[in-house]
Amino acid sequence: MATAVMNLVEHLPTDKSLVERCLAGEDLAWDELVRTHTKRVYGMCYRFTNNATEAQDLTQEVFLRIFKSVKSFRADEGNFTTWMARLTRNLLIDHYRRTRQDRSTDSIEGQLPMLEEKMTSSARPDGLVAGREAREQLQAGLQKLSPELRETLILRDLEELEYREIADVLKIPEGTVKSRLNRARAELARAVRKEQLGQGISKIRTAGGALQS
Amino acid sequence: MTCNDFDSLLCDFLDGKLAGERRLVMESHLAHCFVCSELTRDSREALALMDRSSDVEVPPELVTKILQQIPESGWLARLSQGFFAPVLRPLFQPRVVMGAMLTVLSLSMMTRCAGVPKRALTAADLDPVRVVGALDDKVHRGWERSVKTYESMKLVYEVQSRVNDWKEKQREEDEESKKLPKVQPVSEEKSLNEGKVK
Repeated sequence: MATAVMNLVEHLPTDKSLVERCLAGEDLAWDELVRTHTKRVYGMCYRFTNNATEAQDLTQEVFLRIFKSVKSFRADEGNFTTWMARLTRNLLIDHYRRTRQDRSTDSIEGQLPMLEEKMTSSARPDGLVAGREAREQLQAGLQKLSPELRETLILRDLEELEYREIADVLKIPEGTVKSRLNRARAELARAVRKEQLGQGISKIRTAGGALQS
Repeated sequence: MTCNDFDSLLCDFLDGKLAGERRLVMESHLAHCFVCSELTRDSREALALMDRSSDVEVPPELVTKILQQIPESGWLARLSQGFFAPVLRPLFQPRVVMGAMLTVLSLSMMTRCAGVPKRALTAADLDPVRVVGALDDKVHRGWERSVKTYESMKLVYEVQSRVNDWKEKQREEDEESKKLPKVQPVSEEKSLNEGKVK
């Protein structure tokens, strides 16, 4: 929460001047804009798609669109982060609709990075392992949510936007944002619990199988 | 308080933004309503999981990829992408630039050879009569110089060979004068031997 406020305070004035400098044709301003916002855009894409390759392609696409349409952004109408989040969100939803058919046949490619992470994580300190495990659980849980709930949760709890800003991005009332958020959190917790239960059962089964043989 | 009211305030409640009486009302509803207490517990669990979860790591090459996909916005880039693109693009190739530089170099060598002065040129300097005159002058001078060099070389060689001849002669004379006294004793010995035989 505190970090969200800090982020906003930190970003508002610099974003405005950055965008203005970009429009003036300054190369360095564009560099800075990309460097500042890549983490947020990539974060949103990765959380939403749970696929590193797709997330990279989408992030590149987002910045291409920002570059082309930054002229249409007016600093007095809203803040840049909201504008960018809306652009990213629209692209993600388009992508979701486009790939709905492919997703029913779940490809192994997207899961490869996660498998690799699992293999390397054993050598890391405990705190990092716990963080990574939590992230994997979170990612798996997020994929169980509907896109509406998923995007709301990502914008609020992971990208730490204000309710007002999320309402602006998704073009829905603030009350709807909050009720969606409640449902999203509850469904996430249930999905993660279910997953853990499933893993526990399979572990017990393999242990039982080992004992029998 | 109804469950709907609770739902609309839950976010603020979890953010810790509710104070005083509103907070108390929420807590008393929580104590009575099973559905809402379950919702609150799940929400807290999800928030805790997201808190624990580590950040997404951005691939280090991503920023470079993004910056590369978008063309630079300098005037040269803009020019080379606009209307003049088909003309300008081949001109920016290294071999074309190399060729242009070599042309300049050979031109400068030729003008130097033709005696065009290095100072700022005037139209008079490039007058064909002048250029041809200067070239003719250069050729004549060059010819004279080479003839002169040849002549003096000839003289030098003549003198050198004469001196060598003298040296050779001298040496031969020296050798002959050394040989003469050596020959005499041999003839004496011969005569002695002859005497013995006799």
